[in-house]
Amino acid sequence: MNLLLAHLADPVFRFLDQLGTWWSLTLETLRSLFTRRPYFREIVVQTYLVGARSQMVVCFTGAFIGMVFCAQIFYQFHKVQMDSGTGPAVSIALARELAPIITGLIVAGRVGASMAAELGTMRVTEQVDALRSLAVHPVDYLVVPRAIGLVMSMPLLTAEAMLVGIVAAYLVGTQLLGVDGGYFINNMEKFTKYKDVMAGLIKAVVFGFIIVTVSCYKGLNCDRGAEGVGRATTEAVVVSSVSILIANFFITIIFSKLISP
Amino acid sequence: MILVENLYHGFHGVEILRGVNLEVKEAETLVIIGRSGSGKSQLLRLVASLTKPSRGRIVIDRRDWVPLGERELTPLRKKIGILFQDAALFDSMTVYENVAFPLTVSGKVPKREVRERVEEVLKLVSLEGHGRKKPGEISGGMRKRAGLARAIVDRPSIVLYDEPTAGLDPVIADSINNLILKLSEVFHVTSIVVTHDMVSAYKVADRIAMLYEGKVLESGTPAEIQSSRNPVVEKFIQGRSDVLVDL
Repeated sequence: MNLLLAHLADPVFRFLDQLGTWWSLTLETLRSLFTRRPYFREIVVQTYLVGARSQMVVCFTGAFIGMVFCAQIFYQFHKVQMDSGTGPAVSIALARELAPIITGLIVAGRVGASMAAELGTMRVTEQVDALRSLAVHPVDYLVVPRAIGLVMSMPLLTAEAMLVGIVAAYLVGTQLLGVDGGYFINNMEKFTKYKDVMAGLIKAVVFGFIIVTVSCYKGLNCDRGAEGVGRATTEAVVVSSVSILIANFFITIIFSKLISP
Repeated sequence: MILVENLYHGFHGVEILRGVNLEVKEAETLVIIGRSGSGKSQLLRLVASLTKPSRGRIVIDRRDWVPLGERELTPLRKKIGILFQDAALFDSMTVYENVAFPLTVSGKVPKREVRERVEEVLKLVSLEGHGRKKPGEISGGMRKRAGLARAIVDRPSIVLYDEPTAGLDPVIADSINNLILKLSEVFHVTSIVVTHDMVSAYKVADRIAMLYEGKVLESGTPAEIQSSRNPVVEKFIQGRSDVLVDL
């Protein structure tokens, strides 16, 4: 019985231990962000790597999500002769949910994996210890620039995904499905509010922070060897993606209480 | 001066170091020898304050650093340079950027001074002309020398070497030994060298300490260690094994 309890309790304790370490890293990152001199060069490099270089894949995905969503909405709305509702439905869905979620998941896969792999490799090859031995705190030098870079980039990438998605949906709707362009734009402007866009951008900031803290935590705490780095990379993507989906649900609920949907 | 008192350390419930006592005087070179897994590298990491011991004291310049937190250790770390076993150069930087890193990271040293000091140490370790290469483009011996250049560019008073000659051919190993001697003689740095390589140990050591079963089994000058009657020390320095292999 005791053995069974110990067997069941072990994963719970391990999870709580990991959660505690992740929380410590998050607090240390926030403390460093507001109390330490930032490494500007690193911030610029990381913003370029995580933000600028993610644009292509985010725009591409945003365009196809916008197009397919427009087609699906059109086919349903067409049954009740509400073709002109396609524009606002697409833009609100993209602004509030699709653009931030898709951008978050794409960035978690692309940037989160790369961060965990890079920091994991640095850890197993003693580069993190080398930094510490040179009186440089790894959180200040490795985590904070990545956090600033990603938290700044995420709303911009999400805005890009929204814009590209809406333009792609407009082209599909008007050129392929026969929706009237004037109605599409007019109704979209009429029903899509500032708060819809803001909700998406705020979500993007939260998702960026989740990706960077989870990925850096996984990288900096990975097990020794190539297997450890591989596992950390996979876990970074999985945990970030699941956390984004969970956080999205709670943010949506909170927003719906604070501002009417 | 470095003083290690009654130091205990281990992981996963296994104690590797069980009451280590050591003293390294100023400008002295202490070589720590011992079998693989005896805790030599861990002892070096503890002295470098990269790991916390479970018990004991590590006094450097009359101050016990064990109770201090990560950020409070900055003044200590500025006094210490470390040559890691695999050099631990930053992959994303060139050799020059790696060596310059301790100076540029603070942003306080003028660019011209950085250049002069980096060129000076690159010359000292015979790596002039290789500054633009990435760590992946140079040999293991060159990486070690670049790692050493990075460790000493900020003029530390203590240098710790983790297996400085491991995996190097005898000629390059000897050049590393000569560098260790030069640093000790010219810059009067206090050094701790962890090694298996007895040729290197005899060449660079002022004193040698043998770590065995988590404690310092014997310590003395190279001559004293060579004439030791302790069977464990004798076996180690002669490289003898009792295990017979049937073919």
